[in-house]
Amino acid sequence: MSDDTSLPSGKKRLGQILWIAVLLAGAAGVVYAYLRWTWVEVQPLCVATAVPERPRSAGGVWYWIEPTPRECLLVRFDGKRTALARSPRIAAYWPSSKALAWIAADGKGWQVHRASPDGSGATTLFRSDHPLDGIWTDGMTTAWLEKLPPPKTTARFLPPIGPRTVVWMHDGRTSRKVAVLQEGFAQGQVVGAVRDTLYVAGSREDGIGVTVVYAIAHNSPPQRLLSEYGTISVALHGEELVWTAPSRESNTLLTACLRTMDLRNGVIRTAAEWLPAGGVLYRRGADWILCTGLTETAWQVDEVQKGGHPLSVPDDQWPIAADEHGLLAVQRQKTPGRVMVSRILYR
Amino acid sequence: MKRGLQRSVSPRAAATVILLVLAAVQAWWWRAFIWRPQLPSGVSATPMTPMPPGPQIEQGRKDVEVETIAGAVEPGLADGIGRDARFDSPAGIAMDGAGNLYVADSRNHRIRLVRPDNHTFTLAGAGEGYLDGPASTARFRFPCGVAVAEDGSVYVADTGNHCVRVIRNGQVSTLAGGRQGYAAGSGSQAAFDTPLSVALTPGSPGTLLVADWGNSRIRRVSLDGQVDAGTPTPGRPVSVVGGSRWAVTVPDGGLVFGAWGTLKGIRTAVEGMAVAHPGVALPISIQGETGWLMADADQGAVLLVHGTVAEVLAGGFQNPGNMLAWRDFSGEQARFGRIGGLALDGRGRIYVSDTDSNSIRRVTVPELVQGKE
Repeated sequence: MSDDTSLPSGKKRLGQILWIAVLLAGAAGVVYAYLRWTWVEVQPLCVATAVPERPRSAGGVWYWIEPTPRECLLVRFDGKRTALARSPRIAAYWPSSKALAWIAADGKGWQVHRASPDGSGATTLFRSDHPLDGIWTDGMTTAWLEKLPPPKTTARFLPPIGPRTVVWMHDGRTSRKVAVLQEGFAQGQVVGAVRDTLYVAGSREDGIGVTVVYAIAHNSPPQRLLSEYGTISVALHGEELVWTAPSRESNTLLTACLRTMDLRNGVIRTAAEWLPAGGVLYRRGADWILCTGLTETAWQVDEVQKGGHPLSVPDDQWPIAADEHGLLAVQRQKTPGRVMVSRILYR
Repeated sequence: MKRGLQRSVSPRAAATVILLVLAAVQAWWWRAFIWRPQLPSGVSATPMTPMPPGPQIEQGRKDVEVETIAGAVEPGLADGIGRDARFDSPAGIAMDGAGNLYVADSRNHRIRLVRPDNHTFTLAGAGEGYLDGPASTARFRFPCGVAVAEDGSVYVADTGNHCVRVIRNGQVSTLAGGRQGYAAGSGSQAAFDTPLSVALTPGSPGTLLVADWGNSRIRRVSLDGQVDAGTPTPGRPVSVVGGSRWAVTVPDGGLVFGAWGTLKGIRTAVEGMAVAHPGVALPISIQGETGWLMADADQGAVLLVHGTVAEVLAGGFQNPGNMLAWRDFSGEQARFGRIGGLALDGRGRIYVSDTDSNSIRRVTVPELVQGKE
């Protein structure tokens, strides 16, 4: 009888069992890693009256605008859904951990309001007959844009006789005009502030769409930092300005890239290419997420590989925003006046 | 030895390890390399910006050639050859006898020069502001008009600074104006309100005509800086050209032909065509008769007006809110944004400052270049 056919000794059997255990553990590890990588959980949050517009998260709390047929609601969700403001039109808002600011129109004019993050203690900072847009606040300072109409002439595409945008700032006591930009923005945005410089972005009103970004420093004329063809998304993270731009590698409008500018030295680099055009940039951890773009999914930008990949999203969910924890999504099947808002969690 | 090896490595264990390694490699491969930037299936692929659906009243001619000689649709600031150069809302243009094209690059606050070899340079300007001195450090504010004299002096309607500047021998100086208002006088005593266009009358030394938009007047400026009270126009002028007779365009009122001191007929339309908003006009000689090259101020089209007949040479009327312009090729297929300036070279070729498309385009019309090649 050879050794091969003999019954294994106890030591050999133990070795085999250990081998099998190691193999099983390895296989389980691979399966676990894969599942962990692709695991998606959908947490229903609340029922909204309309698809949330411009959702934004601050201090772990979600805010959004719900445009219903009768009025617009500014909604806060911190575990329960609360309507903080109601108005025929809410043009813009900005939540921070210290304050909430928004722009509302009541048919007679436009007002800038500021309140605590929970909506209490609301005060009106500014009124205007001209449309207001693009508000930002850090709790102390509030800034917004006022659109001045062009004179009545058809040649308004020439800058000095075109529409203008006034940049206003409220320092807690008074409102003051800090800059007048010779451009009319269909969509204006105060992106944020770094040290004493305010960053303003806007898409030009007519003709071929152009988005521009200005840096407005104290007591100096506005500096035009960049201009890009098309309507793009602009965000500020630390001392880095980030924006989507028409692709540098493709000549189709359906493809975009992600560009960044180091605000300390003005160096611009292309962080990622071959992204879908359109959409809004959100920060999630160390990543940028591009939401509600052409592909109706969310794309995670991979700066290492200079590309991006679509996040796995359940078929019935439509991601509309992102924060540190995951995506904010709405159910695709909508009943009028009833929209299920959910959170999609990964890993 | 062989037998010992067989005993120490179990075939099952080896196969399992290989499978695990393969699975790990496959997972890594899948994540790292298999992904392609393609649209997921079943998603909508509607373009970001809809194509212009505006009514096409009439389109340009097939035998007209349109090409971009400098700039691209993307706004920016860069010198370079052809489409490597970048402009930002170029407005008025003027051409000298050597074929150099001067461009009022309004949002870049600079005067640019496009040589006949399509090489673009910055002639003057260092950014927004108001500063005389060397051309490389001088500052302008949204210059919109430019004219060039026979001696090489370049006159600029510095629109945002409400003055007329001159670039001569590498130095920029203020000829007249400098404050927003209305006043006749000499040099800085005079005041303009948003001067949009300048033109030189023929002859030596010639006189500058200024389209004083805010004051609704055509002002006459001598080359030593004397500014007159001007002639009122029946609307706000955006463009002025000098010649044996001068012409001013008032987009909201039609084209105004005028000789100095008197204003003649106002045209609001030519034979039913939508030339109600003529933004820029340029006199042109066609078979011994005077015609007009014209660009609509609100839509992207270059027209030839001859007598009472207007013909679209290139481009087509577009809805200005929906322009997705910048296409070269034939006059029929070409697309323009809104046009801020026109110029002609000695060979009869038309140069177009495409303000919306941030580029300089060249339009070649067979009958205009015939006999001039």
